[in-house]
Amino acid sequence: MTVINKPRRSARQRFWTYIKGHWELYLFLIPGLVVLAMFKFAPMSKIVIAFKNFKPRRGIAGSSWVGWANFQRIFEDPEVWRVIRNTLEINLLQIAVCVPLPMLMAVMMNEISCMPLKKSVQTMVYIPHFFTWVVVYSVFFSMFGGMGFINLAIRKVTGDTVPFFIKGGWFRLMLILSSVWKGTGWSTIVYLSAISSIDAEIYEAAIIDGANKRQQARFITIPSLIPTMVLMLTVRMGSVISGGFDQVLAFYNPSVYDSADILGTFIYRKGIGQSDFSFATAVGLFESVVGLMFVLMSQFASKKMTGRNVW
Amino acid sequence: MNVLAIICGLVCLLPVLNVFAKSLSSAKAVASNSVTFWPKEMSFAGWQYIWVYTSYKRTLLNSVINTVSGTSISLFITILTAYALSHPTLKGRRFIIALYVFSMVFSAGTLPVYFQMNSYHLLNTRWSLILPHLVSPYYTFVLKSGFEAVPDSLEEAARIDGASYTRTLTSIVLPVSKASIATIVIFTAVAYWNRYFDALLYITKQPLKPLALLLYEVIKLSSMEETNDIIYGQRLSDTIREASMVVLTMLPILAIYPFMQRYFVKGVMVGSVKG
Repeated sequence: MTVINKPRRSARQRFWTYIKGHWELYLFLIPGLVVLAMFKFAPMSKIVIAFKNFKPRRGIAGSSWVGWANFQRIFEDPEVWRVIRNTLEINLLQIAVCVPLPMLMAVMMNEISCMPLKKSVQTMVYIPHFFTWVVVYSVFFSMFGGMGFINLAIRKVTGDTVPFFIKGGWFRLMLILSSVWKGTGWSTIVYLSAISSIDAEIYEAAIIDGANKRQQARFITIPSLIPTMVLMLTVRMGSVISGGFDQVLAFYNPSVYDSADILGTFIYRKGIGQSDFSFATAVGLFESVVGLMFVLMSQFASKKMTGRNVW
Repeated sequence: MNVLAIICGLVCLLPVLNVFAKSLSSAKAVASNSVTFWPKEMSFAGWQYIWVYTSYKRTLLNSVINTVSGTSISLFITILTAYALSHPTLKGRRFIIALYVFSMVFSAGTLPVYFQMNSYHLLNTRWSLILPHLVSPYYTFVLKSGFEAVPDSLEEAARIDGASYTRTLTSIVLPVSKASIATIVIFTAVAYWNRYFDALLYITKQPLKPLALLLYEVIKLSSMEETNDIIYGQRLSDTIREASMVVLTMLPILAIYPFMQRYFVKGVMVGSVKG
């Protein structure tokens, strides 16, 4: 008997056959990739500005090469270190307050027995998330500004107003309070849905054993929510160097630059405001690289602790 | 517990009420600091001023156009991409996902993006506000998870019957994934609506400015002195002007909010708990 050998198709032919078999899917991928290429990857070519002494008139190619000079300036300029410190301090403060709070709020909201009350509180608490930071700033300034009713009350008690938006410490309080106002309600949804997936039998067993509401919350609800909170925490840590830009830009003014200027706003002021292009690009690259490191670290930590990927 | 909940709800509501009240009060009442949560000597002069004498109408229109076109194009692209990526056997899938992840964690920076926009000659155009955000890797992954949750058997049955991928997507996968899609529509739309920094960076010509930017300019760049314009028979101070601007910026969101509420609670569950 003879064995007939079928002609083997080359790898190249197999490749194209596969593509042709699933061409629709590859077609579907194209628009997204084009947008990414144009607006996320193409700008990376402009990073070279950080290594040159960029003059717009000369263009990128025509500007002189300065190597690491701009980056050296980052490490030598005390203003940059202050800005970096501000960024870390402000973001860490916000994380410390804004991560646990929604969990407690969810536990509390879970206890509400009156349905209409529960729904209306939920409605009210979610709304601030949908406002732009400029709106949030305006609302807070209206309340806490020199002419606001909070200061009115304070003046009645102490005879003096508190410069919430002018003194550094108070200003950071404004940032934190507004973050809480805007973000807490929203994060509460995540915890509420986590609560709804807790097995009801555990609660029933606890009730039979005589646990009251507070004990149920302490021994069942909160421990079940800790993994979710840890996940939120690690995700939030990833943006500890890059977060907060829209908020600070809307809130800050020249009198609080020294304590509220964060990396993003610093880059904006130097780059666009003062046309210090090369330096600002260098700082931006520094921010992106450090930010990437933080994200990778938080990824690693999250995987270690909860055993699953964020994406 | 119920009391605590009511307090929280009020804490969220009262600041908004304060600004509302100020916008609808008379200049005298506001100047004497007697306005807290309800308008005093009510007058719509502030609102009328914003409507007639600022570019509010134009910026509102701009925001609507940008949001609607941005969200619809983005939805189209995101659905296609997420659907393609939801097939675990697709060759090259890992690489493409890696590309998306990379674009999510590393950014070229504000200035490089600005110069790139300049190279494209898109400064001072509507597209500079719409195009960069058409793709959100995060929402693409959320939708991908949503599509992956569709039972394989459904899609296999369609493929066996000879349906193309397009047919399978439109007739089977999409109708089943309405919750995920509604979620990303809402989040994408709200993000477009609220974005002000892009416009601050790219737009210098008035006719193209969106509402969020107008608010930023009115609030942050206005003078600190009180003025005494008399309009509509009322003295109109800066405070009332600013308060009215804020209120009129909040109104569109507040108007749409009841309709959105049904969808996003479910959606957040899809997006986050699934992981």
